[in-house]
Order: sequence, then C-alpha cells, then structure tokens
Amino acid sequence: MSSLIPFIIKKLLQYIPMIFAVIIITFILVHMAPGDPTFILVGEVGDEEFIKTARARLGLDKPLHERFIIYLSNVLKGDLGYSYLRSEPVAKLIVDRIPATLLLVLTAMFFSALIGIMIGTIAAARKGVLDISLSTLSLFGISIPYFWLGQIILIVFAVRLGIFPLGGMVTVGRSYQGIDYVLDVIYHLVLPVMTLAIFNLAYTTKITRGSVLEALTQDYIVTARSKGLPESRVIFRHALRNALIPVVTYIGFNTGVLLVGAILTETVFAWPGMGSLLYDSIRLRDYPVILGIFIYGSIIIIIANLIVDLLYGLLDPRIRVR
Amino acid sequence: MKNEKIKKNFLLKSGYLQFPIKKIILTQMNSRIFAGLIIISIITIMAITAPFITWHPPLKTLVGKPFTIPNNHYLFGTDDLGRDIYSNVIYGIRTSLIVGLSSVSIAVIIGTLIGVLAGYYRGIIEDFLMRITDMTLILPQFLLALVIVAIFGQNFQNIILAIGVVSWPGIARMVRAEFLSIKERPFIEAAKAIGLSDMKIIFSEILPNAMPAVIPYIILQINAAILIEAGLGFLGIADPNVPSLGLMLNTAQQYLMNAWWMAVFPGLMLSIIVIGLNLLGDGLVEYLNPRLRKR
Amino acid sequence: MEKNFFLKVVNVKKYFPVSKSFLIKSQKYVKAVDNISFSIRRGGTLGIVGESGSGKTTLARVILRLIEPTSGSVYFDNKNIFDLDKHELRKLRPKMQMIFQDPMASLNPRKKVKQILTQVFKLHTSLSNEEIYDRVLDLLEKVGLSPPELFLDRYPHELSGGQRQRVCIARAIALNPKLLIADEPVSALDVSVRGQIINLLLNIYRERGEDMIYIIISHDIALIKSMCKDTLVMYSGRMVEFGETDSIIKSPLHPYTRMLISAVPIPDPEIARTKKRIPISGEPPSLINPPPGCHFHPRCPYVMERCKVEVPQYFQVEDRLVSCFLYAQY
Repeated sequence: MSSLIPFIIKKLLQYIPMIFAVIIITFILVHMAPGDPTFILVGEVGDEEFIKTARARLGLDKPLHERFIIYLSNVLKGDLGYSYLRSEPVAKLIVDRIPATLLLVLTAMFFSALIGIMIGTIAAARKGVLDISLSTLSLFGISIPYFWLGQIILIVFAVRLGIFPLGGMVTVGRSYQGIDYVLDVIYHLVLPVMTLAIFNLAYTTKITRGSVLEALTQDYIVTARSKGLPESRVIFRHALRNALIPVVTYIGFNTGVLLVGAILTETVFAWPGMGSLLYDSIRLRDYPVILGIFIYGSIIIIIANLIVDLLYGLLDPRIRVR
Repeated sequence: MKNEKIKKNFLLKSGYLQFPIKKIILTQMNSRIFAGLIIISIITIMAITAPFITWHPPLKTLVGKPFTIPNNHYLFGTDDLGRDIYSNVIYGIRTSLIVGLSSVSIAVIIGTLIGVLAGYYRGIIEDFLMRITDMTLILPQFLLALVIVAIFGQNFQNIILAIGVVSWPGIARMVRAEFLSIKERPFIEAAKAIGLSDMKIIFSEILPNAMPAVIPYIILQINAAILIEAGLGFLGIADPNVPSLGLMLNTAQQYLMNAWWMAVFPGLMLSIIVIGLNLLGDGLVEYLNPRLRKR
Repeated sequence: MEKNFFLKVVNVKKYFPVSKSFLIKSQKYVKAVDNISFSIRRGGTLGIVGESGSGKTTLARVILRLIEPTSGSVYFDNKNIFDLDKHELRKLRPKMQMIFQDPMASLNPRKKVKQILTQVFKLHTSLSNEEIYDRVLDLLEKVGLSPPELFLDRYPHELSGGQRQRVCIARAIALNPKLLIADEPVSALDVSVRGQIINLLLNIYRERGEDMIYIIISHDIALIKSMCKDTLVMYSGRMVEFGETDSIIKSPLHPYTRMLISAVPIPDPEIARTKKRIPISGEPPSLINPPPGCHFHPRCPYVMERCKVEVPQYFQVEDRLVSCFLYAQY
C-alpha cells in the first residue's frame, strides 16, 4: 500500500497541468482569432453598455499577461462569462445540461460494455462463422457515422413505426410525477442510447475478443483445463476475469470519444444535454457558450481518464511501480 | 544494348520511398486490403469525374421541385431548396476526400517533424514534446477543431487547417516510436561512417524505413479527418459554398419526418467511404504486423 | 594526406553512464573502453582480440568517432579526430572506413546496391553520373560480384550473406580509405563463405596494403594470425597485451593471453600433444561492477595480493607491452 500515495500524487501531477493546458489553449485561440476578442468572449452583442461592462470585467483593456491572469482565475473560479443571448451565466447553462448528457453517456456505456463483453467473449471462445460475421458487424459498427445512424434509427422507429418518441427527454405537455416521470425518461432514452451503444459496442466487442484470446494462451488456462474444468467455466471464470482489466480500462479511456458521440447524438434526438446546447450556440453564434463547452468537456474527459488511471493502479499493483 | 538500358535506368534518380505495393498486390494480398482498395478506387474515380456523371450543378437551388422523391431524373431526390441531392452527394465525396487528404497532410508534416525531433534529440526536448503530444492526445479533437473553426471563421481552408492541427499527435507518437527503433539499427551507423549528414540520415535513411509502419495509421487518420469534417458539418459548422455530406445531414435533420432521402443517401455515401478506408487501414495494419495476422 | 601517416590512440576512454531513473543520475558507469593507447604506422596491420563484451567494437567505434568518446585523443592524418567539428569530421570520413559485423543489418533494406554505392561517390566526389557508374561497376568487380550489372538493382534481401558482406566491403573501400577497420567481418557469415571473404580482405590488403592501416577485430586468433602483424589483447575494457602477433602467439606473456592462445585448437596433433593447455576458467567480469585492481585477478592462476587492489601499469618486455605485475621486475 505504501506505493499508493506516491502513485496518486504522480497521476495528479500528470493530469492537473492538462486542465491548465486546456485553459491556455482556449486563451491563445481566442487571441489569435481575427478581429476583436471581445466578440468571442462576450458574443456578438449590439448592446454597447453590456459590452463596456463585460470588457471591464474581462480586463480587455489591460495588457495580455494581466488579461490571461484574469481569464485563468475566472475560469478556475467557474466563471465562464455571461451569455447575453440567453441572459444567463455560461457556467450555469452548461452545468444544468451536464446531468442529461452524463445520463446518456453512462447508460450507453453500461449497455455497450455489458453486451460487448458478452459477445466478445463468445466470439473468442468459438472461432469460425460467428467470428467472421462478428468482425464484419463490428466493421460496420465502427464505420457508420453514429449521427447518421441516429437519423436512420429515428426514421425507422419513430417516424415509420411510431413506437418511440421523436425526441426530447420528456413528453411535452404532460407533467408526470415519480415513477411515471422515470418511465417517461427511459422511454425517451431508448433510441439515443441505442445509437450511442451500437457505436461503442463495436469497439468493446473487438477489445474484449482480443483480450480474451490473449488470456486464453496463458499457462493458467492450460492448468485450468487440465484440472478438467468445463470449457465455459474456464472461459468465463478464468480467462474473462483476467481479460477484464484491460477491457474496463479501455472503456474508461474511451469516455472522450463517447462524450463527443453523445454531443452529436443529442442533436439528432433533441436530447436536452450539452450537445443540444452546443448546437443551438453554434446557430446563435454564442461564442462564450461554445468555449465553455470545450473547456467543460475537456475537463470531464481529463477527470474520467484520471479516475480510470487511478482505478487501474488500484486494481493492478504492478502498474504503480512503473 | 542491354548495358545501355541498364545505364539509362541507372541514371534515373530513384526515389527513396519504396513502399512494398508490388509485394502486397502480388503475394499476400489480404482480402481486406483488396476490398478496401476497390472501394476507395471507385470512390476516388467518382470524385474525380464528378462533372461528367452528374447533370445538375451541386449547389444550385431549384433545379427541381423541392422535396422531390427519388426518381429516374433526380436519382436521390431533391432537398428543401430544390437542389439535386445526387449531385451534391457526388461532389460531397470530393470534399470529403480533399479534406481528408489535405488535413492529414498537414498532420503528417507536423507529426513527423515533432516525432523526428523527439526521436533524434533525446533528453529534455523529447520529454517536453512528448508531454505536449500526450496532452493533445487526450483532448477531444473534435471539440477543439470545432472551437477553432467557430472562432476563426467557417470557411473551407479553416476547416482543413483545424482538422490538420488536431490530428497530429497520434502520428507524432508513431513516428517517434519507429524512429527510435530504426535509429539503433547498424545501417544507420554505417551511414554515419560514410559521412552522411544528420539531415540526410534522418530523411533518407531513417524515415523511409519508418514510414511503412506509419502509413496504415495515416490512412485511419484520413478516415478520422473525414468523420470530423462530417461531424462539424452535421452541427452546422461548414463552408456553405462547398458541398458537404455532413452539412447535408444537418439540413436533413429538420425534415426527417417527411424527406427520408435527404438523410439516407449522403449518410450512406459517407459510410461507404469510411468502410473502404477502414478496410484498407485495418488490412494494412494486419499485413504489416505478423503477430496479428496469426489470429 | 601526408605520406607517412599514422594512427595514434592516446588514453582513450569510453564510459557509458548507467542511469537508474530519469531524475537521479547515478554515478555508475560501464567502462567499455578504459584508457587505451597504441599507435600504428602506414602499412601496419593490427588485430584486436578479446572475448565478447571486452570493448573491442566500442573501441573501434570510438576511434572512428561513430560514438563520442569520454576522453582521450586519436591522431590520424595529423589531426586529433576528437577535436574536429561535425563538418571536418564528415570530410575525413571517406579516409577512414569500417566493415561491420552483420552485413544484413548494416545495409539499408530499402536501397538497391547501386543506391548504396553511388551515395558514397555523390557525397564525397564531384564525378559525373557516367563516371560514377563506371566506378561502381569496377568496384563490384573488385569485390567479386560479377557480372556487376546483375547486382545493381538488387535489394540487400535479394543477396546471399557473402554477397552482402561483399557489398559492405565495396562501400568501405570505394574511396580508397587510409584506415580500414573490419569488425568481426566473417562471424555473421556461413562457415562456407568465410574463407572467401577473408581472401577478399587479404587481396585488398595486398593490393594497397602499403598505403593504408588495417585493423581487424576478432575473437578468432587464427584469423588475426593470418592477417595481422601486430595484436592488441583486450580484457574488460582494458588493454592487457600489445605486440607482434607472432611473438604473442609463440610466447604469450599475460595470463589471460595465455589462456586465450591455449584455447585455440592446433591442427597438428604432434604439436598439440606436447603443448600444455590451460583451461579457461571463471566467468567474464561484470561490466557494471568489475573487480577492483586488475580485472582479471579472479580468474588468474598467478594472482597476488597486489593484483586485487592495484591496477597494473604497462611493463615493457622486449618489444611488447603487458599489463601484469608478474613482469614488474623487468
């Protein structure tokens, strides 16, 4: 256990600078962009008075380095500016949307992991026809752009068959309470989760299959088999258990891809998360919100990676020593 | 006579980068590479011959009645502004390929430079460059590209530049890893012994040997670039003066209820491009990595 | 180039730091080459012998400055090679060449034979393409690759092991070097072609031997005997004996040299029977933690107390140098 504390410190030292890097990159981009940074940091606003106070608050009349300090401390305090177009602080706008996005990401992650690990293990255990058809399927899964897949799913299941809602998170015009509300959300969740999970499933299956195949070549598998254990037990109890760590790690590190995937999927299903917020902000040219989503999105991904890294070290003590 | 021919041949400046294309085609052509190559060739031919295989200019509005269902004349139907979807899809392939190739070229230049610098000059420079590379690798490339295009202006060059600027870190890592292993091989010392300059050793001895391992990765990166462009287009970040498959899906989103063809065809074409590149890239990775081939 | 040129190696050292981690630079070194000095005149042939890990190859690479030395100096062509800047060094390169141990690994797998050979001329001469073409053909003929046209367009993997080494030799002698170092030139080859390559090397020496310095690195005493007038014996990074090959083989002075010589099989059974063989005992020393004093003392049958603490200097015995306290009285 003695190696744990230095390990955590090492990892924190590795990840915290990344958060600063994100802020620095944003600051540099804003100031490199053609035109007045005011428009980007405040938004394209006609209101003279508003711009004047905003400029003063952001220190836009001061030299660059002072401006950077102001920007950095603002962001670290959680102040990402004010969306004039929506009359709300940017941070609040985004934070309000995070739960919906996380709900989508985590549900999709859960189902794709569950199904992917199952299919991947079976594919590794029985090579042959199943193996080939699975690798073809996973090729399609990886290749088909998920936002388009979402549109097709929407056309088929919502427009043609009409068995699922066209979008949103709750049925408009109804105010459900308690269990009915939960059921309504789940009902709306099915299609976006399906889209996102199919996309992620392909990767999870592929990784699981490779990892289990790798594990099956190890000596302890030979031992288990020679003990006369049934094959299913060998695979699920022995091989899978050892193959699981890299798979879970992979799923965790893939959060970033899934988050971006969710942002695009939300747009298709009008799911009220960060993605829809981003989509609207692009249309409205609400730059402060776009920048805010980049910063918050990056921080979520960095934190997710940090958590996976720490868990990995916790589960596998060999990692810590390195 | 024969001697003359050899002499002539000898005087031709021979290129340094000899990727074993011939070997791949003739000997162990694996079926995935083959399928990928065929798809990509057809797609490329379609993109090049776009003006000859379409009969409506791509961006022109009202070449037909808006929302025409696919028929003999409008193969893929028309959109909300009466534009021919078929023309736009064909020209859209062009855009996708141009974006993929040019942005990845930028990424390859940046990535190779950084990978080579880190591989050649060890120590602090390497630590610094690789730390930056690792950081950039974790950042969401898509969002970064989106922010860049959003604040620098939505035009075609900016989209290419932005995608190029976010795609280099993976290439840099690959180049460095290959570089480090090749640098230690004796023929590099032999090159040094005959008095080749550092620059020549890097560019004519090490890089040509490093590239074959990097090329499949570059192909997969082209794929990623095409998807980023489509994703940006889907969110409405695109140059309105250039036909784009992603942007078409963005328009289609508003009319999913009644004009399914607006979404189906551009997305289908996008999927075919990506499948082709994935087949080619994965096949090459497998071909060049015998350990994987066994599986 | 001066007429009576020479190669003089003075106190050359090459230490490789053994760093344990990135932050803490440890003080440990692998002393691959430790304080070696010798000199050879024009026309001289020197063999460097020693078991693997004794620093022979490192010494060769340091002499040619393919790796940077830790200290010392090497005089060649009246210049201290270690003082030259990059540019001057590159200009001197064609004068000093090396033949590497593994011909396959020392040829760029993506270059044809003609590219490998023309490169040398393009780099250091201003010959026209046609002239280079003729020179390349001559060169291939000289190293026994004929008809030369047949080999121009081959890649290294399309050649046999012996042919590859011939290409390497061609590359090394292309510009008439004054110093040619062959590092285990035949050890990576099939036994069947070793003789041919050795003959090739001998022919090259016969042809222009008086105008160059030849250094052969090998663990094979028989090879050294057939090719070299002088011999330098290395052990654990240090030189233990230096002198004429014939007299070293006839009467080895250093206990290690004796061990080495007696291990060579003698083809004549009459002589072999009369000769007393000293078995090689013990392990080669650790490179990171070599024994104190004389590195050879744990394996030496004549070990004295002094050997365990003091590093022996060089004692002159007749025309030979030997680093052993047994000869301290001379």
